[in-house]
Amino acid sequence: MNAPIRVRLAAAFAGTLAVVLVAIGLLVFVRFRDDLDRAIDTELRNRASSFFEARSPDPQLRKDLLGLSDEHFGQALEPSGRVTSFSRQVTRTPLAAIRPLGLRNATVATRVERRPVRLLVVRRGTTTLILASARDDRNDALGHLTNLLWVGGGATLVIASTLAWVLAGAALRPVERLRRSAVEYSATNLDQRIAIPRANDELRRLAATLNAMLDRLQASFEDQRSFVDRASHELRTPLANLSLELELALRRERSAEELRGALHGAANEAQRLDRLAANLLVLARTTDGSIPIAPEPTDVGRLVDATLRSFSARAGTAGLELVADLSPKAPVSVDPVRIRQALTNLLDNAIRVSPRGGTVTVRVRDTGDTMTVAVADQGPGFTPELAQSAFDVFVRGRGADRSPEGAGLGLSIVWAVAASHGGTVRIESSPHGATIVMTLPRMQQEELPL
Amino acid sequence: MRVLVVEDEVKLAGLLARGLAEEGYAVDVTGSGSEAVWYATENEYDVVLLDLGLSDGDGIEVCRTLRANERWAPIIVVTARDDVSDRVTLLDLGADDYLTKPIVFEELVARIRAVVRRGRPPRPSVLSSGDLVLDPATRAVARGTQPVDLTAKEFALLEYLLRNPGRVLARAELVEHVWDFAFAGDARIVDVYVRYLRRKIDEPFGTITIETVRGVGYRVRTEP
Repeated sequence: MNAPIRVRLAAAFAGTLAVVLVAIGLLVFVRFRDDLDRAIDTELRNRASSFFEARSPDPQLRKDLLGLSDEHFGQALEPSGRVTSFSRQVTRTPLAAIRPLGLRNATVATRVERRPVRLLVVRRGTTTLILASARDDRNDALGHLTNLLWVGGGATLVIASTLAWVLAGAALRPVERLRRSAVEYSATNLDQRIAIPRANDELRRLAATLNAMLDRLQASFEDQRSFVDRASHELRTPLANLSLELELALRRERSAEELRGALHGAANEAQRLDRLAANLLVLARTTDGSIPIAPEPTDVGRLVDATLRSFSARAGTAGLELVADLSPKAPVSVDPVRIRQALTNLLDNAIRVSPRGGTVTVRVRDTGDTMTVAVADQGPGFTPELAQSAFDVFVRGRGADRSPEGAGLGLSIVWAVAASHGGTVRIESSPHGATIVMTLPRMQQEELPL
Repeated sequence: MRVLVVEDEVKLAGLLARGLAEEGYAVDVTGSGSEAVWYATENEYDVVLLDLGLSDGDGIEVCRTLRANERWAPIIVVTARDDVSDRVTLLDLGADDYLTKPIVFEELVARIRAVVRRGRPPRPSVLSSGDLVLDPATRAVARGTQPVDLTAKEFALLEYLLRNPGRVLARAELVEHVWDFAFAGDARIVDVYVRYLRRKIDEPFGTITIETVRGVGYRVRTEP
């Protein structure tokens, strides 16, 4: 059914009404017809009773009792079939010849000389009485009734269907208004909302529901857009530095020393870009604060060692000591790539904030149920406001050199990694340093996807 | 030539300093807005390179403060590509040029040469004579605290007069600068508009801003 709801509603209403009207019409017709027939039958029986009760030998009276008018007539017969009396309207031809008299004391509808009549056949003693009443009037009345039913029913159907059409249109008009206002809604004007109908009905609730859905869509769309904005901004900085570094190097003849310096700077920016891109990729995959992980039995101690080794050169330049404090236990089930990424972010932050000559400590503890990985630095710690928002994307602290080096992604990643493993992250901060503690539940062996 | 680089991205600031030094400029670098104001107030820079996205405050504030303190060193604003409205604000506040990131060094030095050529005359972004103030950016005119409502033509005429204080401006010159080529009428149209202007900016306040120089034209009175 592709027709508009309005058409379908009106058609369904008209169809139902037509069926009901036909049913009522039939009922009325049948009842009326039966009533008429019963009235004729009663009249026939009365006439028969009068004839028998009179027992009059007077031929004229007997004749009158059989029927006085065009509509009422009859004959009395001997058992031999000879007609003994008859009303004046019929011939001597026995009425019994018109219809075989199988019927006794019953009425039947038939025709006498093409005229529709009802016949009553009664026998009492040796006399059989056949009485007839014309059905002309009864048929006329039924004809009138039929006409009345057709006209009245038809008019009712037309008027009621028109009304249904109008009402359906009126009921659906707010829906059309809703639709039209939804058409104006697009990705470019996200703040548009559907006009809420005044009446407190289903459509008002529908509009409110749709608007609530639009609110959620808009919020998530704006989150996405601001993420993309920030991400491209963050990517642009190292890219701009890289291209400026190279442009400067190419502007004039350079000594090998100068060129080496320029390449070194360019390589640093490229690494920064790489880290940034990896972090952005993780955050882009984040849904509801967690990322897909692929856990496997991992020796966290070895993972920490390897990560620390990759930072040793940078720590050396910054004049920092990296310390690993591990309590090795059996391998745990984690995603080594993600854990290493989280650790890299924590170390990156710790090295950036620590003053020259300081120490950065990585501590791994295994309590059986949980495993904690803590990275402690000797930086200025978190301000209370920063600690509140430190895990939000693009919120950045300040390094020891007061430069906003990072992109503000590191701790968001750490949070997402911990959350994906079913764990938590907390900040322990003092003016003499901060410790970020990642607590991961130890997954049961049977939960391991092998 | 001395350049102040105001940039809080340490790496970028270092690269700019190195590149400009190689071009023969004396370069000072700072990453904070307040330090930038101090540097530019204490020293006579030939160019200030101002990053809009300073983390400790607003490049806009630095620009406003410098101009308010009548430091007229040319300012080249460095912005991200998408902050058009900030660029407009800065240019209206008295910045001289802008560059969008990523910076192409060759373009940067060309722009520095261009603004240096223009020199460092006082170029207030808001014109005034006595307590009459005209702001071309907001197209607002006020006598003291009382706003004055001018038509576009009146505004244009007043702006040209205020840009040339103390100089006698011939009617022909005023027609040339305020009316366009399609205007073929009499130069005495200037008299009509000067009369309108006086009725709005002088007569209600009992002041005389525009003097008539008999037989020649008009002159905006400088401070007595």
